[in-house]
Amino acid sequence: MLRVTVAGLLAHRLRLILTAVTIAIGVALVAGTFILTDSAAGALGGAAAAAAPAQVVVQPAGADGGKSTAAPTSLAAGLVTQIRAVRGVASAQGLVAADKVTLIGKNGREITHRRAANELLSYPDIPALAAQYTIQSGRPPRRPGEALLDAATARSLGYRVGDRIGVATTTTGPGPGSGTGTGTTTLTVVGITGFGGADSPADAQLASFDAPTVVVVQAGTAQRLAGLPGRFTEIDALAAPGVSAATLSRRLARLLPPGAEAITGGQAAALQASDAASHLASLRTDLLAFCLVALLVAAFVIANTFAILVAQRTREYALLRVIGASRGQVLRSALTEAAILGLAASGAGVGLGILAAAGLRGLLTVLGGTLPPDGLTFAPRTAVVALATGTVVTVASALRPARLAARVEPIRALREALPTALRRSRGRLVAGIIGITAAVALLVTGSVAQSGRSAVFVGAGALLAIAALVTAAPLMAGPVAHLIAAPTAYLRGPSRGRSRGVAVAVALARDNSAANPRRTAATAAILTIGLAAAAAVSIVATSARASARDAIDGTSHADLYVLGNVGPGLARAIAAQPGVRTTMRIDSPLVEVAGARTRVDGIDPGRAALLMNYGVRTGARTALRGNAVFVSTLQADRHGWHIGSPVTINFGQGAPRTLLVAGTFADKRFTGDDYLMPITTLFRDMPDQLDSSDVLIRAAPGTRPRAIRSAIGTLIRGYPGNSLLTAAQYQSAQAADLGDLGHILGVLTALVALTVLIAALGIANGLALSVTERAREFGVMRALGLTRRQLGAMIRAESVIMCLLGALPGAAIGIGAGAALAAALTRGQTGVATIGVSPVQLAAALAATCLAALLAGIVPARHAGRVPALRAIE
Amino acid sequence: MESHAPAAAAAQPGVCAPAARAQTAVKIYGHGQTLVRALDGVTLELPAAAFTAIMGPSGSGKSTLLHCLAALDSLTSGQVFLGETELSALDDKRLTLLRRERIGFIFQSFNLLPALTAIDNITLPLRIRGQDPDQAWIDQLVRIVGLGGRLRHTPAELSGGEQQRVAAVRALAARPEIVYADEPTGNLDRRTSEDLLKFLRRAVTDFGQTVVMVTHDPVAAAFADQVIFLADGRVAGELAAPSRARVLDALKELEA
Repeated sequence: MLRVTVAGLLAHRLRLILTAVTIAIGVALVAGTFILTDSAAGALGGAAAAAAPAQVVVQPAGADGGKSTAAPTSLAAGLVTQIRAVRGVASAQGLVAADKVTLIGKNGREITHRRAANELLSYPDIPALAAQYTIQSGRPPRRPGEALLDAATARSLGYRVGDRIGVATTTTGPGPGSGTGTGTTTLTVVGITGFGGADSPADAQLASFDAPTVVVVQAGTAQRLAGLPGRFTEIDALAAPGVSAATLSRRLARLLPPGAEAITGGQAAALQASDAASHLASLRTDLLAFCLVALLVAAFVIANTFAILVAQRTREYALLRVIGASRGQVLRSALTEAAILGLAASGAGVGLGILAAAGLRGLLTVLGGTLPPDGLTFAPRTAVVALATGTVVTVASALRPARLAARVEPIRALREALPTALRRSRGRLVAGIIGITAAVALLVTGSVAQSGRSAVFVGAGALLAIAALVTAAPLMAGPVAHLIAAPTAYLRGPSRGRSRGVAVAVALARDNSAANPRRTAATAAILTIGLAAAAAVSIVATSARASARDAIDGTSHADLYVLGNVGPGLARAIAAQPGVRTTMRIDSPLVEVAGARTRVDGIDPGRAALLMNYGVRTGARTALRGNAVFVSTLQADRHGWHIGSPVTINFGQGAPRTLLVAGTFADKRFTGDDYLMPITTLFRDMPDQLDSSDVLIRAAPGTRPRAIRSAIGTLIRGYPGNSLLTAAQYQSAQAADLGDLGHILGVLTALVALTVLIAALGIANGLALSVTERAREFGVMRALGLTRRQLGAMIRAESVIMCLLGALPGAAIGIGAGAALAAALTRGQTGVATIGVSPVQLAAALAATCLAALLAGIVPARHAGRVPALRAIE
Repeated sequence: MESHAPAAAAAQPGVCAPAARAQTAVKIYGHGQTLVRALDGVTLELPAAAFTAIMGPSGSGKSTLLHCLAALDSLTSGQVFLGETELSALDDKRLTLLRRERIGFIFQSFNLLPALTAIDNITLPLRIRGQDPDQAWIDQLVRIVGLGGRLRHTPAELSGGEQQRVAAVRALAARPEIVYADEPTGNLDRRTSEDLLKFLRRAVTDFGQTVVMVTHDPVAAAFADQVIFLADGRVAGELAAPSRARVLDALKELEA
């Protein structure tokens, strides 16, 4: 039987090529995802190992490595001397790490990255600690005013040793409002460094999918530039020979001030690695979710191909039965064919996976992100998983066609093969209705679930809806085909010539589609999934934007925004501009509220009335002064707070403070934060921040925002690191942050395009196969007088009918699933579920899909046109 | 209401211009060693409003001749005419339009479209023309072949005889100048063959339809007005007013 199977495969190899390609693409994506994430993990592991000698790290509690969005807390310099005096300490060194540093390139323009924040680090004097810097050219910084620059930036901006780089600095006085000025310190690049073999720190890249610019300077310079004179953000101690890091960390813990902790280098590396690993894991999950969609599309293509092949080979199977093959043998033969095809295509797919990994990395780069470039890791697991996935999907998809093959009666060897009537249509209808109902229930559940869990509900609902539609689609093929073809009926009127010829072709296409509902529906289903994915991604993205816009429109009265590091001086200068009615600074540092890290907004309550409406629910707006804090109703409900409740806030400096709830405001909106407090109270408890001070500006009555925009634009040019945004620009900037979608949305969009490509291949495959299958039918039509052009038009019309039959339900499912997901997501972000629909994007997706289907129909239509009329007789 | 008979109804066999004719028609397949002269200079006339049978042994070229006459295949040299139209001068598009407007077909293997119902198959040529069917004419044809209750069935649900009667009605539905039938009884049993042949005979006698039929069955040939014999790609004889016995005799002579 195996010989028959192999012969069968070889005989149909041309017809199976497109199917094999779709399997290979799906498998390549799976393999590529594993290869990419394994490679990134490998690079990360290498970096962590290099950065972790036998040492103890003393850092402010909870500062997880000091480089992420940690509250900028610090340790006094005196602690270093104390640590050095401890028995078992061989040496100790204070280090400074600051992020969100404003850097000015040699062309005088600010160096920014889409998602990564620039870092300022101090260069350790102890060689063991400096080991993580792999200097590629030049030397380490030895004097103030010298700096090492990361190799990635050096490459992208063309930096060489001897070039200059500026760092924007703020000299901060002891209290708010006192003597703060802004300036730029110019450093000379004396060396270009890598990080454990990579050009950029691996962990920073994984956290943001972007490579930050890193400037490494002497400790003293770092303290001055970071505004931390006499303080460090981390103290590293090396153990003397014979003393373990664990022992040393216990000894050091005893002399540490409150709020500081001592952990071993191993623990610090592990913390960093686990942080990065969770970023990697979520990237892998996102990518695999889309591989699943691609494989699902491939599954439909496979099922469709095998169904058509089985129909074409009915006589062959019947003959096998006549000469004594059992049903089981026919079934096994058909499944073996699928397994061989699946295995071969998956093998090719694994090979393509290496390309796919490079492609995915390239895609992330094009979209402004990077991953550590450290070769490509090909784990045996990748091959096993990819091969197994491809083969199992292929065999499972071929199961139904194989069973149909096994059911072929021996008598069919002698009789013309004719399409079987659609049976159990009532069963199909009932199953379809039940499936759709359940799917809607799942989507609704998903839309009100917490955003983490909603994806599971929505995913299950969307899959169920697709399954239900595929079940019921053959019943809809006829009516839908008539509906779609209806608009061309008017062409049959008194007009003559070409348009009438087209009308005839369309009418024939309509009847063909309606008469072969199963073939039509099976091919259409391929597109359903593709469009569902496209629509869902579009809805989620549009909703995120709409949600941000609503939140901002509803709560902010500002006409212009200056974002960056606005100090009081600049704030006063802006307020003094003619045409400005009022301005207000907002500072949003990351602190710890009731044990959870979050941002609080420091505002000026007196000016807030004119600039923002945060929807006070309880308490009076005037109560926001002194030690008062306003909390969102969301947090108030969660913690059971009401007016007068004490709230503990750890500002990271000194002892935590207790503030009193003075009121609640409607959900978290506008800035996206849950807490409001007077900015004066905020600055009393933590030094004025360098990084996150923004200013809201409202134009005077009668003054158009555009009129003051250029003046303020000119003003802030003297203050690097600030940018001026209009209300619309601010909205889109906020939207990009919403739901942390920014980094992954581009990838999703690209994968959606790939899915549509696979779907188009599937449609082309289905049409090509059916043209072969229908050659005799076309011959008859040609003999009866259908012109080549009309025959081609008929095939193209069939592909459009098929496309709309597949795409419209797909769009409906995608809109439903996307809306459910968006509702959960936006409610989690702003407290208000917002669903945004972009008709343009949806129409574009639909048009692109139909165009793909139309293009897919070109070659088969041409082939059909070449069928000679004599084919009817031979 | 106009008459259901084609315009040529009044004409008598052989009296006026022939419905179709071939002039030294040659058709060669392959080349070199595998060269086959399927038609080797056939010249014949097919009278209008008559029922002509073309007979001959396997390989005599009778099917090739029919395909070339019916604008389904082209000659290597020589000419075939439909009425006054010379077919070799036409491109694919014009040949297609010619088949559409002027020719009807009945195939040995019925060749109904499996997806369409009987009535949809019957009206298909008219729809391809973009023309509304003449309902009264079709009703009349359907009544004659006795398909009344079966029009909503698909080919899969019809017997072979019923399928071929659908095909015959389809060929006549658009009132073509000429109907070509290629072994129309080849897949039918004796009784259903007879029903079909009676219908074709009646189409010629009552409605003046021109019918040309390729067959190897002397019984079928006996329904025709005349029989043209082909052998080795040439015309080998003619027989007017054939009977089964005379056709058999002629065939014996041919093979001798």
